Amino acid sequence: MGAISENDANAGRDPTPPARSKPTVLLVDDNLTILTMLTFGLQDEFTAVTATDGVKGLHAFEEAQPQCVVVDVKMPNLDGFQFIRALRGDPATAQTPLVILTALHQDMGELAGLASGADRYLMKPVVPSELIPAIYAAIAVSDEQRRARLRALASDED
Amino acid sequence: MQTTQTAPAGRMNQPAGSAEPIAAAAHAVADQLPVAMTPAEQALVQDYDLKRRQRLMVRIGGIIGALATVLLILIIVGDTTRAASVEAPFALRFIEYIIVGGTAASFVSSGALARTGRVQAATLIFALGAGVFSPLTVLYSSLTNFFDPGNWLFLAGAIILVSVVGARWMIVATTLFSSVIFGVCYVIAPRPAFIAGYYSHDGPTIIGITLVFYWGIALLFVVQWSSFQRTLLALGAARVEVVRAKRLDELKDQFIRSVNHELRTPIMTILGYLDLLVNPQTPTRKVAPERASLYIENAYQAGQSLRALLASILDTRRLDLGELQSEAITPEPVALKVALAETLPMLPFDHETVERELHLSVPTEVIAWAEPVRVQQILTNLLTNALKYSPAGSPIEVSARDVAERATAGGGWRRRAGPERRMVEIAVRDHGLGVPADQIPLLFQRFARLQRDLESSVTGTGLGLYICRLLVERMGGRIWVESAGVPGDGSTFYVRLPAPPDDTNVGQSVAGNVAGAAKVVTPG
Repeated sequence: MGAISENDANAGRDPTPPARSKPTVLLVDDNLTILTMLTFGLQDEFTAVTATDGVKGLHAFEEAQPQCVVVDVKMPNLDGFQFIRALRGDPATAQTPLVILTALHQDMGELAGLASGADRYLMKPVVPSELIPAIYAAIAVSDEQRRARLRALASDED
Repeated sequence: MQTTQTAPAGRMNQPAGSAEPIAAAAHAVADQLPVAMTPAEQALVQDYDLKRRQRLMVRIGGIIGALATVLLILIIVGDTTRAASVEAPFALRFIEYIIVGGTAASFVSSGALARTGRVQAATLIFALGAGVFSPLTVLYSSLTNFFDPGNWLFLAGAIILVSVVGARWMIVATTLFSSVIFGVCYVIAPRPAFIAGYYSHDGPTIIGITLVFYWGIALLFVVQWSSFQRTLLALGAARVEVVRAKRLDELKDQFIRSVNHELRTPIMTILGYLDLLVNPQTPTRKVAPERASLYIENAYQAGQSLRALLASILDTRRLDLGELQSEAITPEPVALKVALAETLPMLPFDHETVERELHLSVPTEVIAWAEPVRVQQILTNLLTNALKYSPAGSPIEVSARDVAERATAGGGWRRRAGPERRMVEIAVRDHGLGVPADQIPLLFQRFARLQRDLESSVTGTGLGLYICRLLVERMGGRIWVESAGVPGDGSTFYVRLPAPPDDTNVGQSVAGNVAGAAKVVTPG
């Protein structure tokens, strides 16, 4: 299970109470029961927006402009990978914090090599108390760090 | 519309008048395999024999064809250089060219055809060359020169050549032809001086021995052929088993991956809700009671779907171990309308289900002779598939009727119509993507899922139809699918089950079923 230390989890948290606005998180997964559960889990800290496939995900992204995207990589209709590529490929959205969920072991290897590079990878099953810190950690990754990492990945691919 | 059936015993479709003994005899092997051989597997069985003959004909055809061609060239050259004193009239020389040319052409072309893989055609032409043209060469040679022992042996050689690649009928035909030619030559051909006396004196003995010699060779090769054929069939069948085992292995891997994926979803749901209860993120570190019961309710439902998944996996295991099969089936009258009514509430509907139209056309009087629980299991499976594999909003049609089926008895050419059986037939039709004809046989295999479904988000274990097939066949029925493979046309799954025997008191039992079902409310 992907556990993250308390320090990391608190790193992105604003210590001042409720007056802040909640970040928006886009959840993309083809399974409704999972989306429902995660929405319940995230709704205290975030505004959750959901989509059941990559195409709907891209639409939802445009509408909601989330601060972070959590995506499951085994989906129909613009398969998870393609959704990520679309996001990373567009300079306007390339810096979006990205958390990837996957149930398939073999995907992990592929993901690491992909220039799409997510900020966090988690193996399903993932529970909310693991996902929330991962989202914060992804948001905390600065643009510069992300750019550097993506450059490194891209040059690996060549 | 393509139809396919999954009959318990395997039957191969043979083109009529096949000249291939291996292909024809492979029927028997196919019948012993538990599942009918696909055309690709049939090809594997014949493959060894075809390859062997191909190699032989390429080599032999090449060598003899070359020799015969050289001979022909020498003859022609010889004839043209002997211009002044041509010994034989043109007609005769022409016949000679035809015969020798025919021999050369047959062998050369059979070698060429074999090289390009047309083994059947190559065999026929090879047999023509060895079994027809070669004896004719002997005839010509004997009539124009002498009929000497060399020619006798040459005729034997023709029989041996044909035996190497030909079918049994070819061996027999060649031997017959050679015997006839021998007889003709013996009687009318000129005899060499040094044994002319021997011929006329010991005629019957010579003829007798020679014929025994020829037919002895033929018999030897025919017997050898049969034993070789059996070996090849066994080899081919073993190869088919290996291929199937490999495929099953791949399917199992696929199954494990599918199950792995599917298990994670309900487990993640359950753990997720429990996590929310155990590690509340709210400032007060407590979850409101209504919220808590909602979480628990949702987790419970996820647990139920997990249980259903496990049940289908375990069921397969029991079916495989034959546990289910060794239990005696206890059929009773089952009113299909009622069974359907009991099945509908149990179908999985999740939050996003768009309303689907369900058209039912099941008369009350359609009654099957089967196990009620199993019938429900089959209906549940077929309807769940129809829902899963067709687009939201498209209708599903279920109908049932009585039919009479004429079973076939006997096999091969002895197949004849058997007694009539009364059956009931259920049809479940969806308007999904349909199934391409070549993939239809896959549907009912264990773990098998179509590639396009594996790539989609639809979850499945590949066991449902396999379990259905085993259950249906166990109860004495059959299950099949018809589909044009056209999206929108969808597929229709048919299940036939036996009707109750004439003496059954149907009224009583049906009443019992109906009474139990009265509590269920039928949607749509």
